Amino acid sequence: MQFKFSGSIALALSIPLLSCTVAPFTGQAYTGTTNGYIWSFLGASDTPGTTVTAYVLADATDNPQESSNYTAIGSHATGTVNQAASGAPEYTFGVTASTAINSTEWPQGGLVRLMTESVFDGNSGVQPMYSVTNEFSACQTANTGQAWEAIGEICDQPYGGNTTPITVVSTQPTPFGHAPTSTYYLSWRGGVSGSGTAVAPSAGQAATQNYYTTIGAPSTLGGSSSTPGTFKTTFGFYSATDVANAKYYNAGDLGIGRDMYCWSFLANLAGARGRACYVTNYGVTGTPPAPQFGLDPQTVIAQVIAGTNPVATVAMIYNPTLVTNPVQFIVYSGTGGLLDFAALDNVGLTAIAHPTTPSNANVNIPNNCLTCHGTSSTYTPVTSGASVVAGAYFLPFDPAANVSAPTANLVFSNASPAYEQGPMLVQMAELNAHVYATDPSPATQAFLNGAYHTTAGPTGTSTFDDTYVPAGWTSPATGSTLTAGGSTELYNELIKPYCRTCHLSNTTGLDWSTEIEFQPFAPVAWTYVCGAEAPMPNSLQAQNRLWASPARAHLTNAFNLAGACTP
Amino acid sequence: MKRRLAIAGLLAATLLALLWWRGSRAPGRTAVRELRTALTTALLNAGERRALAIPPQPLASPAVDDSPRHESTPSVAVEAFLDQYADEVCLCSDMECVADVGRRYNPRMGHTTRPKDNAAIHASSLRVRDCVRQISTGG
Repeated sequence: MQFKFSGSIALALSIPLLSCTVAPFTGQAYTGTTNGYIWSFLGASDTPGTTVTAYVLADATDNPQESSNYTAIGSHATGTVNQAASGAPEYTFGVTASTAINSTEWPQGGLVRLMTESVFDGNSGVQPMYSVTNEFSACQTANTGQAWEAIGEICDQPYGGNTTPITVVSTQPTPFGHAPTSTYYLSWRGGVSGSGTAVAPSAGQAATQNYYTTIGAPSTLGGSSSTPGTFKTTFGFYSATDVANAKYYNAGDLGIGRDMYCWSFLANLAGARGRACYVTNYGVTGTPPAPQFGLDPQTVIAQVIAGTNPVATVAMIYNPTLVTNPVQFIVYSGTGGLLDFAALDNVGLTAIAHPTTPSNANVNIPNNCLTCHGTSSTYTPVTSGASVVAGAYFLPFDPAANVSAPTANLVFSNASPAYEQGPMLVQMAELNAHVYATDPSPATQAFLNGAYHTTAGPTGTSTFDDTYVPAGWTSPATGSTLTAGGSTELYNELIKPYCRTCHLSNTTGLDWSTEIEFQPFAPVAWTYVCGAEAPMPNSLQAQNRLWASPARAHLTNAFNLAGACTP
Repeated sequence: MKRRLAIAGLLAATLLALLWWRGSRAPGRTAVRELRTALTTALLNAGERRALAIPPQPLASPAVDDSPRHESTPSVAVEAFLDQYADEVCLCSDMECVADVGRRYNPRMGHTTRPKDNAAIHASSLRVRDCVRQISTGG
């Protein structure tokens, strides 16, 4: 290979972008067969009739920044007619590879790194060409009217200039599709991975019952009217005047419909107020109707709105007067009776159907809740004596990741006006106001104040800002290897949609609220994301979504993490 | 001929995406010129494909050479790799040093094994966390 990386980064940052490959692009996702794929490269240069050569990293596990690791796969000359109406001359090119990709270069389900090189910007020798990411089209639209070289400079890949490869993801198979019985979802609890050993749900049943006894869990949820002793009655639901309610589909980490209620209650005679929430889960299919995670969002939202075939109800309580277990978890069945198990994915549904059979699912309460609600919590299941959960938190309702996009974290109805995005975001603000009152983690408080532009938590009139990026990601600290643009893009492509919700509960330095905090964990995150048995994300739904997304390409390019990242 | 047209169509479509990128500032004459160039390029590429007897993409071709074109480097256990990484991070006194350690280790991640011992990885990550907290607070 002819191009040399050494020394080119400094140069790249100081010159206009007079070359740019716009297809393929970093973050492009491909669902088909990788072996045999033939790439076409498209772009533009300021130099007419010059040869553009395309390369592939010959072994997907090798260092992507080492030029000698690349193999040429095709070349073609740029055009000779200036396409630019103004500014620098522009000569487009299209290179079709003369060699098909093999599975060493692009393992199925993994990553491929590509590069292009040519002469440009008046240099006598060839050099790597600039490239873009999946955010390019939005950036281009935002900079309409600019000359092509200016758009290229603003919208090029933000991870190190022209020496960063174009990284494309193969989305199939997913880790679960590749090895459905060897992955332990919801296995992280309190920062400890319990992976590696299949456990029968029944083995944890007595501990759950003891936990319920410890916290005095009401034995029934309660219906539409007040009955003494039910959850709703105990925590003042029927007399509450501040009930917030949202009906939606949780697409981000569960893949189920939810009918969510939160309100405040009087916790002691001194006037302290606690918060209680319950959420009834929906999502059934077939005859007779059977629960299933990951069904079509709008189909499930219709079930939520109709209230048909509730699967289970999860309740959480925050009682500020309690020294131990101030945050509590209880699960009720679709008919309102106390449940000892709760499935949070399809593996869990199978486990509950065969409770004495060892499973790699985690269906034990509150253990499975703490996977997300207590990433730095402590809890030791015991079958007698006091059962204590410390460090559990309410999580914010996070309608982010482009609330109206297919990648939305929460999906709202598109058929029932009362439950469409507008009114539901108002209810989300009300729900988040309750969350803010539960003494949530510092990261959650910062997130709510940041996303709602408040200083003491949102109210029902607060507006959620989906473009919110914490200052620790927009302005990298000393020692960061990323530019502000790269840091922001990594946050939007990885942290926000796939990590944020659960890591906000962390209080031990893993809340990912700053880039400088995350950066040292890049190789660890890479290890967990790429095929670990106790993976990150630790939810099956979130992992499936990450695997189909540009996120892996952004993570590897941001920190020059080598590896094929196969399932 | 049918295949050639299909290939030309595919490439023309992708090239038109490129034109879209250039979009709003290239009305009228420039747009026509771009379109002509795009189609010409597409046809040229189609001709190249035909000459080289390359099938259209994407394709899982049994004729593809699937052997490595590059000699693989032996793998090291990721657990030991991250343990060593944590060691080096913990020797740092500032975040620039931590970043440098990452710059040296991250490009070698591809030659580590798949994780087998979650506890060992977790222990390394906790050491990284604790050391970074100490470094970043000047402790």
